[in-house]
Amino acid sequence: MSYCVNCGVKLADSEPVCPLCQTPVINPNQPTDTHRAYPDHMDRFPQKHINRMFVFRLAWLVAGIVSATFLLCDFFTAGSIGWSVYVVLGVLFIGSVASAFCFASVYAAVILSAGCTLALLAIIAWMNSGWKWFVYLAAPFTLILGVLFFVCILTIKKKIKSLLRGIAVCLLVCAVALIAIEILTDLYGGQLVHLYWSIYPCVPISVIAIGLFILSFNKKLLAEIKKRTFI
Amino acid sequence: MKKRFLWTIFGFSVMIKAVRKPMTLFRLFEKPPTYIRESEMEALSKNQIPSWLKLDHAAIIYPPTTSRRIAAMFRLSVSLDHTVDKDILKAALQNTLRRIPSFGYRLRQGLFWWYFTRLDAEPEIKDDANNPMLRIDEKRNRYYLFRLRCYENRIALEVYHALADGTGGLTFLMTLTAEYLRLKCNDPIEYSDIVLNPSDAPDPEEYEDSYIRFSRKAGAMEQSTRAYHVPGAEEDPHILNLITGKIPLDELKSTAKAYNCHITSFLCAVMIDAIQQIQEENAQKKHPIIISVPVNLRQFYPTKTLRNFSSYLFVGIDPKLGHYSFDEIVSQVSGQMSLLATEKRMNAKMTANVQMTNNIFFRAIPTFIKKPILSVGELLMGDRCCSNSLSNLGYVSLPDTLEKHIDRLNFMLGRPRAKPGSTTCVGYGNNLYITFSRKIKETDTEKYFFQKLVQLNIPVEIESNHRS
Repeated sequence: MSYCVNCGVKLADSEPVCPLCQTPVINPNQPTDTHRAYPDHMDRFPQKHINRMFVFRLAWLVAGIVSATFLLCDFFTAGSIGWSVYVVLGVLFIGSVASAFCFASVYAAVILSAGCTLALLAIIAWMNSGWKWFVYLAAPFTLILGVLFFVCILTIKKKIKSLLRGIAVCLLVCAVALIAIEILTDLYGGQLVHLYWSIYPCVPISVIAIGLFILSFNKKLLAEIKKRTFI
Repeated sequence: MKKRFLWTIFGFSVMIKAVRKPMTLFRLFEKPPTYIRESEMEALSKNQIPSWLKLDHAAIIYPPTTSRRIAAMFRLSVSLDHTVDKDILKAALQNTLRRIPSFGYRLRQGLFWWYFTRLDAEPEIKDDANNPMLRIDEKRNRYYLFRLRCYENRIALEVYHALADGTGGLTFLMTLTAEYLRLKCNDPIEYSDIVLNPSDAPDPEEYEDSYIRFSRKAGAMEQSTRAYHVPGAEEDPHILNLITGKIPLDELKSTAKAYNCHITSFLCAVMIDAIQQIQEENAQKKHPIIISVPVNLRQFYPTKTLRNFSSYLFVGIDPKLGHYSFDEIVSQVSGQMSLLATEKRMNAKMTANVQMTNNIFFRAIPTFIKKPILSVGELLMGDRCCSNSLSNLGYVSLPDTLEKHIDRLNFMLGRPRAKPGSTTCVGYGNNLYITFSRKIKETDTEKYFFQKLVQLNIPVEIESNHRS
C-alpha cells in the first residue's frame, strides 16, 4: 500500500500514479501483478441501423407516384404533356442524387451528383434550344461547384492532420470559387474580366481561413478555448 | 326516444372499443395498472403481471433527455469473496426477475407518453468495461433497461433511471446476490426488506407509482438559479472518469459529530468547500455553489415500491457575499438540510410534479413535441442549477448470511448531461465508499475534496478506472 506524497491519500495497489494529482507512486515494495479495479475493455456507443435499401425503395416509390400524378394532371387539363416533364425531370434528379449518396462513397456521390446536374441542365437546354447558356455558363458553373464540394469533403474527411486546417482550406477554396464565378459571369456577358463583388466576401473569408490555419498550430490556446467554452 | 338514445350510446361505446383495442399507441386512454388501490390489490392475481406500465412521475423526465450518447444510468456493484460463476448468476437472474418483474420491461414511445411493455426474452450477462454506464444498446441488450456485468469477483448492475431508483436497484441487486449465493454455496439465506425471497410472489405494491398515492393538493416548485460549474476540458463522449474513495465510517461519523451535523451534510460541506476553492482560483464572476441532494421519499411514506420514489433538494452557498469558512459552510448546509428535507416540503414538490404531468393540456401534447420541451426544461432547471450532486444511498445493512460473502459495495452515477460530474456514496461494513464520476479531464474537485478529508484526519484510500 502506497501514499501520495502530494495529497496524503492512501492509494490502491492498482494505481501507478495518484488519480487526484498524477504524482507517480515510487514504492520499491509495491507488488507488480496487482488486481485492476476495472478491465481495459471499453464499451462503444450503439450503432445506428438504417435500412438503406428500404429508404431507397420507398423514395423511388414516392417519386414514381408524384411523377405519375403530375403527368396525368397535365395531360387531363391541357390535353398534352408540357410543364409536367420538368417536374418529372426534377423528381428523377433528386432521386438519382439521393440514391448516389445512399449507396456510393461520398466522393463518388459528389461526382455522380455533378454528372446528374449536367445531364438535367443539358436536357433542359435541348428542350429549349438554348445551348449557349449551357455551354458557357451552366456547365462551367456546375463543374466549379462540383470541384468545390469535392475538395471540401476531401479536406474535412481526411482532416489534413487537424480539423481546423481542413476548415481553413475549405474556406480558401470557397474564396477561389467565388472569384472563378465572377470571371465566368463576366465572360458570359461579353464584358472584360473585372473583379468587383467577389472581393467583398473573399477578403473576410481569407482572413478567417488564415486565422484558423495559424490557430491550429497553437495547441495550448486551443485547449484553453475548449476548456472555457464547453457546455 | 329514451330507447333510441341508449342504443346510440351503446353503439358508440362498441365502436370506441373496436378502435381502441388494436391501437397500442392510444394505450394511455386505458385504465392505468400502475397504481393499485388496496381493494384492487387482492383482486389482482399473484401471477398477473401487467403487460404494460405507465412511467412513474419521476421517470417521465428520463426518456426526453436520453440521446444516442447520453442516458441517465446508475450502477451498483457487490464484490464477493470468490470469483463469480456466470452460469449460476444467470440462473439467479432469472429467479430474481420472476420475483421483481418491474425490471423486465422495455421502453416504448406512445403518441402522448412513453410507457413500458413486458419482456419475455432472457437477459444476457455482459463482461465489465472500463467505461461503465454507457447508454444501453437496446437491441443488443434484448431490450432490457438494465445491464448485468461481471468482472472477477464483482457483480455490477447498471440501470436506466426510468426503471428504478437507487433503492429499487439495490433491492434487485441484493436479491440477485442472495439467490446467487444460495445456488452457489447452498447456504440458507435470511431475507429482509432489501433481500427479497425469490420464491415469493411479486407484490403489486412493488411496481406502483407511489407519487400518485401520496401526493396531496398543494404543490410548490423550488426556485432555482444558475449555479457555478467547475471548468474543464471535456473527455470523449464514451469516456467516464471514476475515482472511488474508501473512508472509515467511525472516523467520518466522529468528525461529522464534532461539527454537529449528519454525514450527508458534512460531505456536502466538504464538496462545497472544494468547489469554492476552485471558483476562487479560476472565476472572476462568482456564481452560487449548489449541490443537488437526492432524498429517498420512502423514509416519509410507507411504500414497498421498487420504482422511482425519490425527490431532491438544493443546498449551497453564495460566494458573492464573501468567502465562507468551512465552519460556516457546515452550519449553512446543515441548516438548509433540516429546513428543506421535511415531509411537507418534499410532498409539495412531489405534488407539483404530479399536477404538472396530470394537466390535461400538457398530457394532450404529442410525444415528439413534448420531448424537446421537457429536454430544454430539464436543462434549465436541472443540471444548470447545481454545481454537483451528492447521492447518498445510506448505510446498507445485510443479514449475516450474506454479509460474510460480500466484501464491498459500490454505487455510482453515469455521465451527467450538463454539469461536469456527480458524486455518490454508500456505507457498508465499516467503510463509506464515495465515487466521483466526471466527464472532464481535470480532477480538482476530487483532489480538494479528499485533501480536505485528510486535513481533518480522516484517512482515505483511492482507486480509479485509469486507462493504461
